[in-house]
Amino acid sequence: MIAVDAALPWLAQTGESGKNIQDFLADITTFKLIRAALSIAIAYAALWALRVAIDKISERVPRRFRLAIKQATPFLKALVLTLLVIYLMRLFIQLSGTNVLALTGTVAVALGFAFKDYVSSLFAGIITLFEGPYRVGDRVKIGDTYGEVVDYGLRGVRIRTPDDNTVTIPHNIAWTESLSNANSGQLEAQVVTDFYFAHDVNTDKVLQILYQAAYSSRYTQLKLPVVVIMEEQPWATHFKLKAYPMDARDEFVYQTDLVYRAKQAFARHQLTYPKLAGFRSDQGHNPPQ
Amino acid sequence: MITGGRLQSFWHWLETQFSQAQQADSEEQPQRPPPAVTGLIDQTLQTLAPPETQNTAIQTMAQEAIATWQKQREAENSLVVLGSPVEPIETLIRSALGDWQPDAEQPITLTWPFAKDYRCRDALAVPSLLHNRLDPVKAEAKDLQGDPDAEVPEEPNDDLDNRQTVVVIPALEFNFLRCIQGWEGVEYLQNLITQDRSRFWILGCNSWGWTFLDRVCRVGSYLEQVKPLPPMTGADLATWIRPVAQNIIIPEETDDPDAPPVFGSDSYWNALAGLSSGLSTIALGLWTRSLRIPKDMAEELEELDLGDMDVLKDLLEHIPLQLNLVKPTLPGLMSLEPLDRYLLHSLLIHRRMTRDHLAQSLGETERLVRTRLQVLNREGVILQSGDEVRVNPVHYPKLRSELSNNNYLIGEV
Repeated sequence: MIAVDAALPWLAQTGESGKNIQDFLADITTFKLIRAALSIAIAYAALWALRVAIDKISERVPRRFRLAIKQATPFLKALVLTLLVIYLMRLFIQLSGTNVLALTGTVAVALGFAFKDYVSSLFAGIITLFEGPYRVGDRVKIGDTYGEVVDYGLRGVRIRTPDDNTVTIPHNIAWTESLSNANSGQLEAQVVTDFYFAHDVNTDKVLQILYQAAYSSRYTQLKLPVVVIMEEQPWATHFKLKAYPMDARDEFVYQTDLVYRAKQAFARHQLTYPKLAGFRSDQGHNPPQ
Repeated sequence: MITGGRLQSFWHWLETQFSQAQQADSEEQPQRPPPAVTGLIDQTLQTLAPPETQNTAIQTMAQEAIATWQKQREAENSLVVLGSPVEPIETLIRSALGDWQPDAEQPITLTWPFAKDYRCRDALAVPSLLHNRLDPVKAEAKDLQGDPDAEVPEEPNDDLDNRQTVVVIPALEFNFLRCIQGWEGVEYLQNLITQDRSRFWILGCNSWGWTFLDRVCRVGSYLEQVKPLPPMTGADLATWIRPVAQNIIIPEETDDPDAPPVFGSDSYWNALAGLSSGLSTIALGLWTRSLRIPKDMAEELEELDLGDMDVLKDLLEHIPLQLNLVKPTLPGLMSLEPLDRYLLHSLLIHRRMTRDHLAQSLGETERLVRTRLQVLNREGVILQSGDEVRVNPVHYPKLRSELSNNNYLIGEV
């Protein structure tokens, strides 16, 4: 009991210390401790199994079901954790209305000081789970990090970057940082590919080739529109090819395929690229930004 | 949110997985005829004339469309007949319209600008090829540009009395390739057809190729009269396959001794029609798969050397086959890699392609494409003949579902 008193001084300070604590806590026995340890181990194993199973299943099913399955992960994890917490509370705490009030109030104060950032991340995680600014499988940019959301943890989200690095970002960063989501739960995400030509280029031909490059690429989602935008720059005519790959994961190979196909056709028609004044490749100058 | 359609697709996918597991068991059953025998049966089936119902359907569609075009100045001057990507649409159209003379207001001349199975090797040369073959007036004018004394050819006369020519292009998909500038031939054709109303055009195309072309060059807005081939019913299939079935199948037992022999019950043929979606080539494949041989005959055949097809034919004349039919089933589909799906999608759009066209369309090296083709061929998903490859019809139903579930644009049929 001395140990409990020491661990929970905030309860002792409520006044009728010993009796209140006894009312609050259930009997702590070795058997209960073993059950608690076992339940934590089982929950841990369940979380691990859940993650592995969902990863495997979602990668094996057809594409259109992949995201739906992946997006269930955080909810299932939350369910396991909630069950664990309820079970532990039932083991060690006598849950009366007064006790629950006392517990939530004091826990909030204690955690507010000790684990402010952690708790902030936890709450942000719960809120984003329902708001859905990012979900597992989405391609997002948070701060300077861009990539696919591969895991949605209790405290943070894990993002796999195009370089195959995994970056963990705490959920509470969503309070302060801007967040851009390329596909918002859909399989497709728009890919914008830039092309630059000399001002006197045959624009009709370039437009035709760019549309055909998109329609002929095997990755293109033909159900969605393809658009080419033109813009005059002081040093070149800028063409933006906007199209969707069937799977947002193919973003970079898709872009490569578009450039590869288009360049072959540009060469066939001898379309002229911009010639930049003062730019000599042997001096390592960069083109104007 | 998972919608009803998604649930249905998911169920189809589960079914596919389940049938894959089951297939291993059914393959081991000894009652299936030896491969040499099924090969011979396949060969015999290939000699069957195209189904009469398909012939009649094509002729009726053409008859109605041509009659309207000859009577009404503003009527459509084209008809597109859509088939599935596993049906030989050009064979069906050639068979239906080859020696056909419609009952029309004016005498009709059918012209076939391309020989059977003709396909331009260079996809970028298709527009000039079409120009030379289909637009002789303009081609001639172009040739004469340098000669000031030459007589300028006349534009086609579009009087109703003059509407007597029908041009038939039985396989539109042979005139495009999914690559940059690869469908300019189709764009040329759609412009030519809408401008030259003095000729009527009958085009055959597979539904996947048509859906693709409609997306990339709005071909459906130019050629509006599009009709799919009607699916075959169980009775149609029974009548069509009967010439082969009667030689190798044990007839159904009936109470009426005077009734003509029946080779397969109504429920069998209806199940075959349902499973094949009424597509003739799929039905043939599934019919062969549902043949079973009695054990004693299988043992008898095992003792013979079945390697030589001629020897086998001779042998079977002395030992006539007495086969049974079991409920038809679709074969399991192998687990596909992403490149396989791209490759098969491309094959289904073009219906059949050479390896180099396939590589060009996918933007992959021919070596890599060849490697995957080997695997797909070994698993029976595709069929190769010479340099050309096509999808094995019996895998089409599951493949269609697989590609649809993986977010591909697919055809209606």
